[in-house]
Amino acid sequence: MDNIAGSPVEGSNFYGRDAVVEHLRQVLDNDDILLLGPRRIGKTSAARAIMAAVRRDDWQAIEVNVARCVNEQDFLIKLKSELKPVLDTITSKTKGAIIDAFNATTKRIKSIKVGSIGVELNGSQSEDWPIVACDLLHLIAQTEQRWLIYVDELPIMLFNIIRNDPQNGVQRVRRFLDWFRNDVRALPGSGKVRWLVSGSVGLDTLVQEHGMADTINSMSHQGLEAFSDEVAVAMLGELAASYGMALSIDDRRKMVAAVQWPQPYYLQTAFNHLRVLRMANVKANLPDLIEQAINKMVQPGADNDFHHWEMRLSLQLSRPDADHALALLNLVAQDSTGARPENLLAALEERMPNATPDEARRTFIRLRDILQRDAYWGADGTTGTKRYRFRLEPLRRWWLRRNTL
Amino acid sequence: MSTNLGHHHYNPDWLSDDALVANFIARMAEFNFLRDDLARMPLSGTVQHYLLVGLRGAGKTTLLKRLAVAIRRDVDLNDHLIALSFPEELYQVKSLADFWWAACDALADELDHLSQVEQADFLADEVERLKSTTDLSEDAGFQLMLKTCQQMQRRPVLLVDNLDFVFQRIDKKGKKLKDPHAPAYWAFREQLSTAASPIVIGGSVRLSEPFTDYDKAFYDFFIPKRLGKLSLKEVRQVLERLADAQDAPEVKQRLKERPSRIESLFELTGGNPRALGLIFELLRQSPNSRAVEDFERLMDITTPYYKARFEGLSEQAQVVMHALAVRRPSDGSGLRFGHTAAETGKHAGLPTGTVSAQINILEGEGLVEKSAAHGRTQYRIAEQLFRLWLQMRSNRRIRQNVLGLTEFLEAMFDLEELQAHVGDEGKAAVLAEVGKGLEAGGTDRLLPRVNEQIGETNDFFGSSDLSGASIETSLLGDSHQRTNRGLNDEGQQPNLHISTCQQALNAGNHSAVKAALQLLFTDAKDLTSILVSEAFIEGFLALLLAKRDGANLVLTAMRELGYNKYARPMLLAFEAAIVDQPSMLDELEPEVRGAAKRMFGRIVKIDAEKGEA
Repeated sequence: MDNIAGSPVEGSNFYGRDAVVEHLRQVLDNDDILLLGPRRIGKTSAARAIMAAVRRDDWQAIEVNVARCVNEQDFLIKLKSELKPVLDTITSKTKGAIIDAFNATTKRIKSIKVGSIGVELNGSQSEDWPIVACDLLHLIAQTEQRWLIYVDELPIMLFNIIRNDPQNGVQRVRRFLDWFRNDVRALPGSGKVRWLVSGSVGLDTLVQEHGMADTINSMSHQGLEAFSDEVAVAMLGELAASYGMALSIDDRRKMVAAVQWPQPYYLQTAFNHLRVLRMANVKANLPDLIEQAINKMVQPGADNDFHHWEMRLSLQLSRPDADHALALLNLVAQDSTGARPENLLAALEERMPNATPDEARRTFIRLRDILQRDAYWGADGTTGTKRYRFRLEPLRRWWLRRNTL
Repeated sequence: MSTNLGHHHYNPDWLSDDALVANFIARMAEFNFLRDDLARMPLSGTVQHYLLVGLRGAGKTTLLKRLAVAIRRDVDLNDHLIALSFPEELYQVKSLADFWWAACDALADELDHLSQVEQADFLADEVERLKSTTDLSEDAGFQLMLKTCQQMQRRPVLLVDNLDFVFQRIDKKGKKLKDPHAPAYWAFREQLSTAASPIVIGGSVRLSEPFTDYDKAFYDFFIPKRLGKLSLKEVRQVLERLADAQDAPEVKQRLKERPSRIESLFELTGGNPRALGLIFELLRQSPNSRAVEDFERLMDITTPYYKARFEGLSEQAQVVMHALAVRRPSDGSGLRFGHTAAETGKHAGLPTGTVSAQINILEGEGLVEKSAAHGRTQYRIAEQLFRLWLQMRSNRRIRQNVLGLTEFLEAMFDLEELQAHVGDEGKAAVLAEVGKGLEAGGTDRLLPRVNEQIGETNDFFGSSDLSGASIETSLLGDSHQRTNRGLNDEGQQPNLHISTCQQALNAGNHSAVKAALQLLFTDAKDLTSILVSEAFIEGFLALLLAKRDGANLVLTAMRELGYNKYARPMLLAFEAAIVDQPSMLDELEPEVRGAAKRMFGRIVKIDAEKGEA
């Protein structure tokens, strides 16, 4: 097993999530999947494992990363470019007809209208993009096999559309999501084509903010949980063995406890720090180095530090909400066991002197859910009382240090 | 580091593979780590990309070149990898497609290097042919590069210096890319995220937004490897290895005998490998000179380099850089990171908005760094040597401040060095004086005094220090008695002035305090040595802390009298001790930070290394 933190992993480097992949594979029998979650929790790696799983069941599977797309036309060009090599390999009786029709879409895609609301770039002969898109999908539905289309980074594309078309961008996004929910499903044979859509940058916030939550509700919403402690300890064991490092089970437990939210990325990052330290201090005591490795993760100003967790609050929330969230997190960071909801609500009420208790309570619940969804904190009842605590312990330590004189 | 250091301080690319390998000394841990990781990376499958982050001269280019040689030569690497070494500047790149054509050029170069001339020519022809076709897809270069490598059963390793520079140019048709959301970034990321994608080890002066921001393409995608300051131990190792490699035993001997000179230069140059190569040249040319002379010559020989870089900036950026380099806070406070945009604007005579805009650009270039840790964001020039060079090129007063700092560092390290040797402050003080005398005036007048009052000179000085000695006994007289109290040979006066100052403080006579400090300032021939002495630090300043008002009075008076010019680290340490904010010392410019912390440790009587009382 390789020490990889950042790039999507495949094969033997994809560790500990076979059951999750199997579950998601089964969901695809009947539903499309929306896989959302913070960055670096392994969505792309899981999606690729699902693609491999469906291929074993004789499905066709393609990955369409749409992050570089800035409009609907780009989306279609990208979709087509990923479909082409797979269509070239199909053995359908109607292959010739499908390929001919498929090739004919090139000209149509190039001449589509980009934007359905008065934006017409390519003259009067142009078509609406959803018509061309549906025709494209209809073609692949005519093949004998089932299809999985994995669309990665969809929110990035939607934000690109809004950014590039301030006047009509939101309406175009709504149209895109409506197409996805309605037009695609209405196609004959649509059940043969399943979609796995993933993204990390605020799709849920986007649709909520613009009142289009309904557009994504038709998909099965899924997430990726962190490893159990046992799996995390075993993964570190695999890594250590692979790099010839004598990491005892206690050492590994110590690392897992220090991370506390054992997503593979954070385990891999901690292990990478440990490797660097080990190489520079061959004779040093490993438990001491583990301590140092975790400390490297929490140093303010360090590379890849956690400042973006703070920055995200102001990116995704209104100024007052971001300030409230910051204050609540400051409070929770004081103790590794977190804080009781009653105390957090009381702190929020103090910050909102002009709000009624009900308004403050609603604000708290809303922020609580956002912070939970975005993996800042989680509810913990292990001490007998419910408390909200930071999921990622190094993040808590970073947060605390950042606010300590 | 190279055997041809005299010629290739700025162009490691021009070194032969053998020369590069033979003299690659610094950054060995980083090299070993990356080399081993590359050996594990598969021909096909997931890989980890890395980004080397460090200031100019930190050794990024040399490390990348060393990795290229390893990929070329080591069997466990060249059996599945091929190195694509990019030139330091990729001026031809104005889009992502151009970047991949540059990768094809690098591949052709490498094939040529490996004597596979036919394949190299074929690839070059193929590039020309494809470029001339119409309706060329954007990733044609990328596909050609991958295909060529796949045919060779080798995975490409892209060693891209100045990746941040490339990032600024892979869109917008050659104009600098301002939009960190640019689709080109995502396209690039996608190309690097497959089982067949090339491995990237890049270099960058900073981690810019596309690498660090949560909603940007390369967030947490690369593992950064920070190439920071070399440790003093590493610096010594590098210089010793260079001395061995270049058959310069006198330099090695000198390093052993007078480490304070190296320690001073180490603090001033920030453990920068490129500066280290230059320092070695200085040591070789003048083994017996002093740190301050070395530093002046270092600044002189780097002038063409820094001048060219400075003149490459816009006029407004030059004004801002100059202001950041030379401005001193008007309130005399020193415990700060740098200057706010408003302060810089006031100094430079520019509107704050203009300064902020320029600073943004300079920050993007890695020339300016910022800290928002204490109130309004403050800025300073990121490269220590660049800042010092600008200060040295400024007016005489500012230049004297830099030289004063150099002298202070040398005096401080002289004292520490001698204390370590003799373990006795009195002897150390004498020896400090002797050491400086040897450098400045030769051995003649000082040698006998050492023999007479301390012991065998061979215990403390090398043979090269002690040639041609003759005795001038008249100088010896009562100097030991005086220097035993940490003073120089100006007689009792400095000590009297310190006593007078102390008495004036006790009596609450503020004007007398200042007058005594004024006399100390004007009477002392070697003020720096006095200001680092135990008599002054432990015997005077440390005691003042019991009464903060008195301490403040002395601090203010010293600043007004110009002590800053001779002992800025000491004043900063004293200020931090008075306001009880040792953490502020971490904010200081690196060239004064270490010395200020040492001084702080002495003033508050803690072990600065361990931070223990």
